[in-house]
Amino acid sequence: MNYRKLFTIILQEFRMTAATKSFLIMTILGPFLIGAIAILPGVLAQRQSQPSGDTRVGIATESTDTFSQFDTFLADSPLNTVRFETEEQGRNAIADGEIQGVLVIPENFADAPILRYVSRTGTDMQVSAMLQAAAGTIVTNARIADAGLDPQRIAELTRTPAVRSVRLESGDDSSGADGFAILLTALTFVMLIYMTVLLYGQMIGRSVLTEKIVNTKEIMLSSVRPSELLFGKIFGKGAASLVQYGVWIGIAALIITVIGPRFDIALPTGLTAVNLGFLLVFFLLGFFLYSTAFAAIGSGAQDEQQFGQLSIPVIVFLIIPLVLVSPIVMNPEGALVLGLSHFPLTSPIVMLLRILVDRPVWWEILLSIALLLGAIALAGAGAARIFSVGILKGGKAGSWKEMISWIRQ
Amino acid sequence: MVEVRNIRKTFGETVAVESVSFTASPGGVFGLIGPNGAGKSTAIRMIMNIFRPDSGEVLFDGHPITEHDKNRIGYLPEERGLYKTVTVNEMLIYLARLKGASAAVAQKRIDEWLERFKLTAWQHKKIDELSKGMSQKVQFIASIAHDPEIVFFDEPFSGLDPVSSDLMRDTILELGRTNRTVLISTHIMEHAEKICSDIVLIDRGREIVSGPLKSVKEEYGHRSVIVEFDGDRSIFDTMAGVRVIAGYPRYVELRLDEGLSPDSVFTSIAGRISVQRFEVTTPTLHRIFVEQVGREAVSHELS
Repeated sequence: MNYRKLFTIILQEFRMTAATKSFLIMTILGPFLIGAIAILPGVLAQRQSQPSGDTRVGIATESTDTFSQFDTFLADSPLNTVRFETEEQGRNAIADGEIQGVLVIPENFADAPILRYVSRTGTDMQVSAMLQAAAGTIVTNARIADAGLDPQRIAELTRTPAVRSVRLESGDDSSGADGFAILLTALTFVMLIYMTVLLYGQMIGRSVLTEKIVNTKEIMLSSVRPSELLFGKIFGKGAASLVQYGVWIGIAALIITVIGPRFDIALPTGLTAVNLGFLLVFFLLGFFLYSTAFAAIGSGAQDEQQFGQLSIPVIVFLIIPLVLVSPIVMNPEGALVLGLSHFPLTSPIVMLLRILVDRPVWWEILLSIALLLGAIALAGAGAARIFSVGILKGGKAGSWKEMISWIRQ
Repeated sequence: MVEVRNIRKTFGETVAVESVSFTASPGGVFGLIGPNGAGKSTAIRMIMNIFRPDSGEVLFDGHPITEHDKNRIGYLPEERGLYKTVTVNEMLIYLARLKGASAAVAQKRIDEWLERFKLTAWQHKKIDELSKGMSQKVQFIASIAHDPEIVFFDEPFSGLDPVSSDLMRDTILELGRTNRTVLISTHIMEHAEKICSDIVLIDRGREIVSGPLKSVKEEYGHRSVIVEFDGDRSIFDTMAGVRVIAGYPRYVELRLDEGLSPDSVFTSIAGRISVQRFEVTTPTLHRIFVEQVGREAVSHELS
């Protein structure tokens, strides 16, 4: 390997990748995506817990007593109650924009199986849930009182504790992970790895194919060894992807350390420096494994269409973990998951998922990384052979069987 | 100096090159000539070390090619191609650097060559924007921008207009005169005839004729006679030792058997027909090519 020539190719491939509009757009849009996924859930959750301080809802009831019970019960909630004699008046108030909706209390309130909450949208779940809680308590208390018991006493006796999921490693109970936030971080990371590995892998495959299509292969091979050209492409595009990841991770770090604390936004629990580190490691491993595979495909194919067809078996292995995200998150120690987290074609995504939801023991992570490195070495050597035969081959596309036979040539 | 010794290459059952040998020395232009599909490209790829020969060897200045030798070679492949999204200058610098040239030195030469080929205005345009002929010239510059000692131009004139073609011819001759080893491959005999000092003619992977162009022409051509006349053409058909290779009512081109001199032909036709022109010619390379390849084809059919 002539390292000076290799470096020249790496530099050129880097420039041809990084100095494009699409690279710039993706680098800029990436953080928005990450930012949206990292910040939005926290912001949304905050907004959901205190919907809006001045939400006015009507209670349509003839009984001032019933109304005052609602008013008292909802005093601490963000809802402000307004009394209406009839449903009709309430509906008019909605139309005039005075209130968001009206809860209609029937005459047989104590026995009514269903109460109607009429609102503009019909979908304000938070409000209707609060009203349901209020109505439920008021009716139950009335029934308990009718039975000659003390509602206060009953409430004390039937109080239940809440259950909250807390991760083993997290020492602080108050910052305990909630499953939804972990799933969200996991999904973000998985999508990011999937998208970038696929994108850069195919970019490398197409770049090899382009050497064939635009006929630069001969002039290149009269100057450099096939392996220099192949690895120059892989490292050059890899360097471009690293720049992109660097920008993204830098912005994520900024969100964690500065933006989050300053604006008091609750960040998804999985978004930590350690996890970002694992994201980068498994992206790189996945990138090298898949890009060698796509480079081999690019040298076997004759045109875009054949490239697409030959890529399918490889892409399937990228999609498998994507489909299994939900079962993996729910049961991260199942036999299938253990297997997939060590099988090199699926382990970049599956092991990362396991790390996010169920930190495996260290040697499992190391074994997975070692197996990936081994697979990359094998795939790299195989791809170099396929590449040196395939790149000069004209005529029809090589099948997978044929391409593997080139390794032995 | 490039020495090619009995190189052979097969792809599965197909023999692409059976046996080709020649030596190209500095100071002239060596022509590798043959019809399409003769095995020229495979032979060139073996010389360029893109393919390894099954047997035989290629020597550069007496030793097998090393990776370092690649930097001393300039190559214009028949299948032309450049990256479309980069500028002319970026592409040329990149290819020169892959040949081990420093960017600064290469830049100076690239400027000169672009000037000479009247492409300076296009230096910072994308390859995409060039016409076919322009990108052909850019590719030619790419093959020589690192100032190689040995150059190989595969079909250098294809796709060029007459003016560019002349410029290309002059440049190739100049490279030969400046003591570089220059090889070209072509199937157009007129080009080979104008610029080659030595040739090897190959067909179906085999060498058919080789040597200095002058002696090839002498060996295969001193018995061709052209006669323009008025009279009965049939006297040529019955003449012993004479074969009509091109015949028209008032024009014939004759091939004479070994031992028969043009003089005796003249003597035997004088007075029988009115001779307007009698010329002993060296046949064109085109004629030698057609005849030799044709003869090979016949013997190939028989075997």
